[in-house]
Amino acid sequence: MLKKWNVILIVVSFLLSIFGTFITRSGVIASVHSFTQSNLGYFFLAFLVIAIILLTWLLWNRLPLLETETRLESMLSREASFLFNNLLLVGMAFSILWGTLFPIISELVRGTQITVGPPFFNRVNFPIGLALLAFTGIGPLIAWRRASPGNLRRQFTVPVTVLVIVTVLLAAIRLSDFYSAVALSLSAFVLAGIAQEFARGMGARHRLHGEGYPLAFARLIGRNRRRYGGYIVHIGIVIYFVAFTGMAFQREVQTSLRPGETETLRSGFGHEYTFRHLGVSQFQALNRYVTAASVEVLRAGERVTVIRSEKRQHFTCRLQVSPCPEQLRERSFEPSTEAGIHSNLREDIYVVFAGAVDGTEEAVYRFTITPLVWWVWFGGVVLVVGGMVVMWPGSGPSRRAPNRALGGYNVKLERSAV
Amino acid sequence: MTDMTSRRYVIAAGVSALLGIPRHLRGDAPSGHSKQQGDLQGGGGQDGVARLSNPFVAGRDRMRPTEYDNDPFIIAVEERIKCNCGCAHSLYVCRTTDFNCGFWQDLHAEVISYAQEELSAQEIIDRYVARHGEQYLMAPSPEGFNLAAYLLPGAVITTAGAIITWFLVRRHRLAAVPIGPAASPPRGVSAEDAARLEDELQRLDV
Repeated sequence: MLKKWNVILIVVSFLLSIFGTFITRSGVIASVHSFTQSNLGYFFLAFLVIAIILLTWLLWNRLPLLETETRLESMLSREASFLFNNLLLVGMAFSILWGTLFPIISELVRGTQITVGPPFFNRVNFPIGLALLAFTGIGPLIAWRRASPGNLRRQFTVPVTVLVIVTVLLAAIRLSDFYSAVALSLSAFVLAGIAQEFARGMGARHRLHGEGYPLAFARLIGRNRRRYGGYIVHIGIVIYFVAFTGMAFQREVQTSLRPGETETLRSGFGHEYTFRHLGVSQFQALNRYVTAASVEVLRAGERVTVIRSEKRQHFTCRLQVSPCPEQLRERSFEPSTEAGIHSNLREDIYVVFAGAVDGTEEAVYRFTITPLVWWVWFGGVVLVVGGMVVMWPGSGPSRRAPNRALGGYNVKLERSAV
Repeated sequence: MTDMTSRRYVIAAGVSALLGIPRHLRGDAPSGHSKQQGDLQGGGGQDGVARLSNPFVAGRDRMRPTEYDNDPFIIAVEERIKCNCGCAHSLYVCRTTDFNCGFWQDLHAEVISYAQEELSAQEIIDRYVARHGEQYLMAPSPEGFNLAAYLLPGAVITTAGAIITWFLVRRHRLAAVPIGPAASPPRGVSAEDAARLEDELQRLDV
C-alpha cells in the first residue's frame, strides 16, 4: 500500500534537503551561512540537477516494481487517514518551501524585497500542525480497509468524550491562548485513544491467555511491535505538542539590579520567583576573560538555586606560549554571552547577563521562565524508544497481517449463540 | 574535575613525577574554570556600587531598562519588526539577545517615540514601513500579492485533499456496483453480521 507514494516522498525529501543547502550556501536567500564568496553554490546546483535527472529516471524505470497489491477502498479507513496525514506533512513542507522562496518570488514579481520570518511560519503552520495532531489520534482508531458505523462508535466514544471534558475544563479555567487550548484538547483525545487501544489489547490477552496485566502489556508490545511501537511514537508526539504549548505561557522581564536588589516574576504555573542580584565577579579562565553575574533564585521565599550568567571575552595569543603573557593577547570578536539555566520538570529559568551599567556591578538582566521545556527533550526520548520498538529485529508483520492486508479474510461465519 | 584525594590521582601524580612529565601535560589541573582571581580585582565604587576592575571585557555598557522595555504593547509591535543589523531577528529578540548589536537602540527609540504619540500598533507599523521599507517587517502584510504567501499552502492542501476525497468516493461507488454473481455477498451474511465480523477481526489483532 502506498509504495509509490513512499518512494516519491523519500526522493523529494532528499532533493529538498539538497535544494535547501543550495539556496542557503549559494546566497540565493540571505543567510549568515552563505558562502557567496566562493563558487560552492554551483557545485550544489550541478549536484541537484544530476540528482533530479538520475532519481527521476530510476523512479520511472522501477515504477512497475512498486505496483501495489491492494487498493484504498474507503474514505473511512486507516489507510485513507494515513494518506491524509501524509498530505498534511507534505503540505507543511510545501508551506515552508513556499515561505522560504517567497521573498525571491516577490522580488521577481513586484520588485520589492520582503522578509518572511517566524510570524509567517507560525501563522501558516500552527493550523496544519494541529490538524496533524488530530489525525495522529484519528488514524489508529479507524479500522483497516473500511470502517463500519459500529466500529467508529465503539472506537471514538471514549476519546471524543475525553476531548469534550478537557475542552470544557480548559474553558472553565479560562486558558487564554487559543492554539494552546486546541493543542491540549487534541492531545487528550490522542492519549485517550492510545490508552483505549492498550487497555483493550491487554484486556483481550488477559481474557484469552489468562495473563496478568503487566505481562499482557509486555507481550502486547512484543507480539505486535509495529503497531504498539507506533503508539509509543504517538505518545512522544503528544508530549512534544503539550511541551510546545508552554511557549504561550513564557514570562520574561528585563531589569537592572544592584547587588542585593531583587526582581519578582510570576511563572506560567503561577509560582512567584524572586531573583536577588548577588554581584559581578571578573576572572580569567583558559583563553578568556570572564565577567560573571550571579543571582539567587527564590520561590515563595524558599531558596531554589543560584544561577550564574557570564560575558566571555576570548583572546588569542600572538605566540604559541602558555600561559599567554598579557602583552601578547589579542581580543577576538565581541564578548559572547553565556545564559544561566535552571531546569526542572515544570519550567526552565533562564538568566541572561546583558551587561553592566556604567562599568559597575549594577547588572542588566533578562529573566525568562518558560514552562515545560524539559518535556520537549523527554518527548524526543519517548519517540526514539517507540521507533526502536518498531524497528527492533523480528518485528515484521505476523503471518496473519499480510494475509489480511493482501488477500482479504477467509472466515467461516457461525450463528452466534446469543 | 579531577578528585585530588583519589587513589588514582595520587598514583598518577607519583608516576608522572617520577617520569618527569610536566604538570600541564598530565591533565591533572582542574579543567574548565581554572580561575586566577585577583588580577582583575574590583576598584572603588560610586553610588554604593563597586566598579568593575576591567569593564572593557564585560561587553557594551548597558542603559537601565525603562518601563517601555517590558511594555507588552511595545514588545508586540517589536516582534513584528525586523532588526536591521543583519541578525534576521525581530527587533524585540535582537534587543534582548544580541548584546553586540549597535543598531537596535535607535529603532527601539523610534518605536517608543511612536507609542508616546499614542499611535495604534498598526499605525506604528505603517509609519515604520513608510520610513524603512516593507523588508523590515518580520512577515509580509497580508494584502495584495502577499496574500498568495498566506493562502497558497492552505489552498494546495485543501485542493489535494478534495481530489483524494473525490477519488476515494468515486472508487468506493464503483466498487459498490454489483458486477456479477461473484461480487454478491455470501448468502446468509447480513450487514449486521458483516459489521460484527469486522469488529471481531479488529479485536483479534492483539
